[in-house]
Amino acid sequence: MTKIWELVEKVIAHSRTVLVYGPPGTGKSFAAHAANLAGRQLFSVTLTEETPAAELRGHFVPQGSQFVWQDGPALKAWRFGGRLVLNEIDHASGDALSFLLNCLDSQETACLTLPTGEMVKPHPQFQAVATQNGKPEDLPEALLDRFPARIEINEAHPDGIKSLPVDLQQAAAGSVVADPARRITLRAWKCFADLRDKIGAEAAAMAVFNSRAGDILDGLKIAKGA
Amino acid sequence: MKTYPLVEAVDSRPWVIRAGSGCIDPVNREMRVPLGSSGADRHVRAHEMAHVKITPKVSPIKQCKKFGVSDQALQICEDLRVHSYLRHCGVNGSPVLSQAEADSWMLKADIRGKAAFLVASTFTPDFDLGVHALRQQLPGNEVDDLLSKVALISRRLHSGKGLYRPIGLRNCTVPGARLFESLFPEDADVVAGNGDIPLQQLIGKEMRGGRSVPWGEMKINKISPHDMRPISRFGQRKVFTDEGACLRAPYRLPVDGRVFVRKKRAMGGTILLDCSGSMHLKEQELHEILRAAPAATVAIYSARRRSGTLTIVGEKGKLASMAAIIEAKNLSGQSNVIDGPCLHWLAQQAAPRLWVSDGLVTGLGDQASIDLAAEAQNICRRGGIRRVAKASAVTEFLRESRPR
Repeated sequence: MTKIWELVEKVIAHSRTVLVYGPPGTGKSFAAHAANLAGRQLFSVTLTEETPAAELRGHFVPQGSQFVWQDGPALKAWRFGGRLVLNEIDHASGDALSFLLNCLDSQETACLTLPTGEMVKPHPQFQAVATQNGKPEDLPEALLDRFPARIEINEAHPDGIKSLPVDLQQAAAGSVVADPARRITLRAWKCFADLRDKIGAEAAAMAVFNSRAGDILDGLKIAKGA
Repeated sequence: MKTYPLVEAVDSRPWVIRAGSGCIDPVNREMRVPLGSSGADRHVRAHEMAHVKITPKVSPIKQCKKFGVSDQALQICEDLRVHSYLRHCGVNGSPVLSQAEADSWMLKADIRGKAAFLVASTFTPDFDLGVHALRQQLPGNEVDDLLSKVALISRRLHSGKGLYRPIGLRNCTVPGARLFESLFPEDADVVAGNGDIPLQQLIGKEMRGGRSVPWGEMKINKISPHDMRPISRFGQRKVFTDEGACLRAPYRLPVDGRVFVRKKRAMGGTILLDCSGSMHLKEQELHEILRAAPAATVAIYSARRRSGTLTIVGEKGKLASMAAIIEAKNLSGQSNVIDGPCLHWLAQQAAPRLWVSDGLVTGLGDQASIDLAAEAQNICRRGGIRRVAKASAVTEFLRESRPR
């Protein structure tokens, strides 16, 4: 485990809110889901500009002749002390953002009054891990203030690299964090590795890397040596 | 759509990649390559990636200074090593040049330039284009000679240890570059010396593992003046002429009219004789050398396995007795071993400089090596040393080169 990923593990184990950011395909979401769950229940949401607050908080659903309240993932995490993973938090809509400001407030002041009239306080074990590809400065100041612990990821997750065949590991580790024009995500490498076993290296490279296929194959041959 | 090389596969550290014609800055980890999608562009990218993999990450200028070879020789031999590596990896390149470009290059280049093209393009499709162009421009035997020399360089390069690792630059590329310098000297047209060594004879005699042996240690020995005997008149000679400013022989007026005198400096120079087992020294030949060039310095050398002696047997018209010469020779040994240091000594003596040797140079342990042969050849070129195979040829050369 490298230093940065060790840090992510340690901070997730002890901090109520954590923001993990960096290039796509480095294993941020993987770490947010897997690191030190400690028996917590996991709730994961990927935010978009269309995601309403109701999807996070909860809403009424028809049941027979009446409407019953159903908790959303954020509220469930609040109630049961679970971990809420917020993917792409920088894409959150204004509606979702205002809910999140309240949801991620400190343990002492956070409090939600549901449309049912119920007042909910967060469970002491509640935890939120947010991930994004952009820089933290892109987030509104108030939301940023909810994430005092922010970790920039500049290398691929070692477990993700280890899951690849040995001959791809160095190339994947370097290309995941290369310039955007040269970047190849862990998902692409994983897909290439799987396809290579089934349809051959040339065809797999053509399918996954398109115009870079020839250079990728050359690079792998040169790195391997024979 | 730009296409980038996967340099991350060959070096875990981050590299900057920019558009360019094809070069790397190993110190700042910057690569300039064409980013197009053609086969030639892809070949250049693969070439530079191979450089990243096997070329040491130090300044090429420092390497040239360190190893004492020219930038061009080092670069083309390193390109040869890179192309060999690409072939070894199964990366087949596309031609970078067209036939017309290869023809034009070969037409403009001198023999060194032609050889440089062939060395740098070995194991690529461009090599065939170059050979085709050469066959249009040069007679067949000249092309074959050139190709055999290029093959010799390639063979030397491939005999080194760690060919496909960064250490291969020192073990393989540098000896190859030295051999290139030796076979195709930069100043071939103006060079005074002709120390050509039959390098072809040394093929396969290089050390196992490619590491060349060093030269042995040389000591300089002078024979006692008591053992030196005058052979010819040394110094200036009078020459009578029918024109001049110094009237010294009026008595010759009725005879041949050559009443003027001009002083003529005696022929000198330095002759170094290889007295190893493969060479045979005759007293008569030494006498003839000193008669032909009274002011010449004559030295012999031979060695045992680790060291040897250079003995000055004749100078200023005097020659050591044969008994003293044989004694000196017996004391010294029967091997070459110190050819390099002796040639360095010769290069510092008065011209013309002649080296009487069969050219089969050896280093420590009497080990033959193509590297040592190339080094000896380079010393000859730089020092204006001419090699002749037999002592009998020395007098002939001295007579021919005597000013009239």
